[in-house]
Amino acid sequence: MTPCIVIIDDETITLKQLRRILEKEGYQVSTFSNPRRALEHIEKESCHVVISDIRMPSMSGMTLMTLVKARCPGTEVILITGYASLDGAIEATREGAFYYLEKPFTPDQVRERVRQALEQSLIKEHSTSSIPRWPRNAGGPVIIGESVKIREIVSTIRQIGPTECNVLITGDSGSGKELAARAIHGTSLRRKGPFVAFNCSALTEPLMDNELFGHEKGAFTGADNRSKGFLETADTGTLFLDEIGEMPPSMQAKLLRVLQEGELIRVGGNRPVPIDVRIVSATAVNMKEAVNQGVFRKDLYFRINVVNIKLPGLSELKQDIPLLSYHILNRLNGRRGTQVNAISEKAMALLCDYAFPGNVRELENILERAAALCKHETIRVCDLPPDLIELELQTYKIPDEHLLTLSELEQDYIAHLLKITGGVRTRTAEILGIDRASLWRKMKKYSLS
Amino acid sequence: MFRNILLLFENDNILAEALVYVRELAIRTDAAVTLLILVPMSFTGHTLIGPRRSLVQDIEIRMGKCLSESLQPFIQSGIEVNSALKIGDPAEELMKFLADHPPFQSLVWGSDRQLPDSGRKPGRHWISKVLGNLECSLLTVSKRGLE
Repeated sequence: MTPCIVIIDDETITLKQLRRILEKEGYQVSTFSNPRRALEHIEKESCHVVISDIRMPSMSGMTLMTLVKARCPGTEVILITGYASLDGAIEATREGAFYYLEKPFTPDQVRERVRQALEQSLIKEHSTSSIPRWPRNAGGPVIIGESVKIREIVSTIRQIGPTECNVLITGDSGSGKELAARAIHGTSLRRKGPFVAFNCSALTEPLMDNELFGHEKGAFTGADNRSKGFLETADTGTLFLDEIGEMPPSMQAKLLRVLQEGELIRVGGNRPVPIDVRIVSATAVNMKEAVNQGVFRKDLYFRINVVNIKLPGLSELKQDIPLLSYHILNRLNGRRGTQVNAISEKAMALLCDYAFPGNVRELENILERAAALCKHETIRVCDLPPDLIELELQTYKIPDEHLLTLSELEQDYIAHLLKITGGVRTRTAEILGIDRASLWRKMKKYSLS
Repeated sequence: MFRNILLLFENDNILAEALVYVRELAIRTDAAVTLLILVPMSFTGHTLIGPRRSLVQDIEIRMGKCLSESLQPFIQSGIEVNSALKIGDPAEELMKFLADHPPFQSLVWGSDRQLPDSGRKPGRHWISKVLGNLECSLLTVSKRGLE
């Protein structure tokens, strides 16, 4: 799709000049000297970027911008003026202008600003229209991202969803393991059945036994009625076992029996209860290591790990951060009633630069805070947490070994030979297989005495 | 509580920015924080701790004070916080500490002593010995340069 740009100015020369610059870039350009005509056009055709003069006889650029934003919130507006002032620029950007361009401008300036505005506009468009790529009628949640890694994950989930195999999802805390599990359930043939999530690290062993397997009446003091456990509740559906690596050994044995036999025995009971449940597990720990150390049963590991999905951390999905951020903002607007619909370029650059050790959960928290504090429709740098603005976070890597260049190697070797020959040049030249004059030239080159 | 953050210090070199960052990260992710001070000391050739007992005691007093001061901002912010002091070979002590504790989701370097950068030869700092064996990546904090 060719990006559409609308230019409005009462000076015909400026219109022609801008049209020429932008058409060369391959954009679809429409020019208007009358702002009202331009508005009618934008309403009918919609566009990605509007470039408008501030001072026009029939309507000011600021009013035009307000009307454009009201009709098409995703459209970015660049204001141009021959009477630039700091106050004017501040006011324009506060009202939602993408940029305040001062006349006379160079073609490069125009190209660069339009390119940036287009990027922002396309991000907004993606966040509102093209994000729900997940088949909603299938009941699956939305997995956001355009990066190769996310596309691969989505493709794997779509492929394995309708099968009955057990899945192990691995990934750091906050990387969206439960979301992926829900997506698997949503694309499976069990999607009309229940999806039950259970955290294996949150309870003590007896409590976990009771919660997972249920109990019979009179199984223990206070067990007045028969109770179904999470496994039975998830019958004909999917049971999501989070933090499965933390499951105690006795529970592992009982779960293995459920997977092998398709039946369970409630606490205090002796009659097997048949169940039909698909297990999707998740963990942040290295399960292979846990198996090797004997902490986790090997047979259970193979049962739950028929397919493994590894979720990347947000620091590996930098290109998806803008898309994710706008998706989270849209959700916040719906849930909290906020009216924040944009993130300034600088604020977005800060977010993209951050390492996100807390992954998507941390991004959500940062945006929720920013949306709550934000006094305008756009999240700006000042709305982000101070530590993000003032501090720089880096993942420490072992520095690469310093590799020598050929001349550095030659210099070191000559110095080494001079040392072991006691500075005797004839002997050094002999070992090197060169004549004394060549050695002398090299010594001079490398400042070796 | 599903997140644990480990803030590592070498001696009493404490970077204020790291404390600020970890506190904010803990609030954002609802995490518990553990502060660990590693004091490098060699016991090679000493079969008994006797000759070094007073030195170890001095270190414990000094580092205890340091830890106590560093814990305050976390306690005031209502964050669950623990602390520990280990004296010996820092690489070994760190691995032993990690083995004895539930997994940490974030490891942050909290000392103002700079880790080796790309301009220096690797292997000079003990952290490079264990970096490959850590359960998650090590993060370093620095003040953002003025633009």
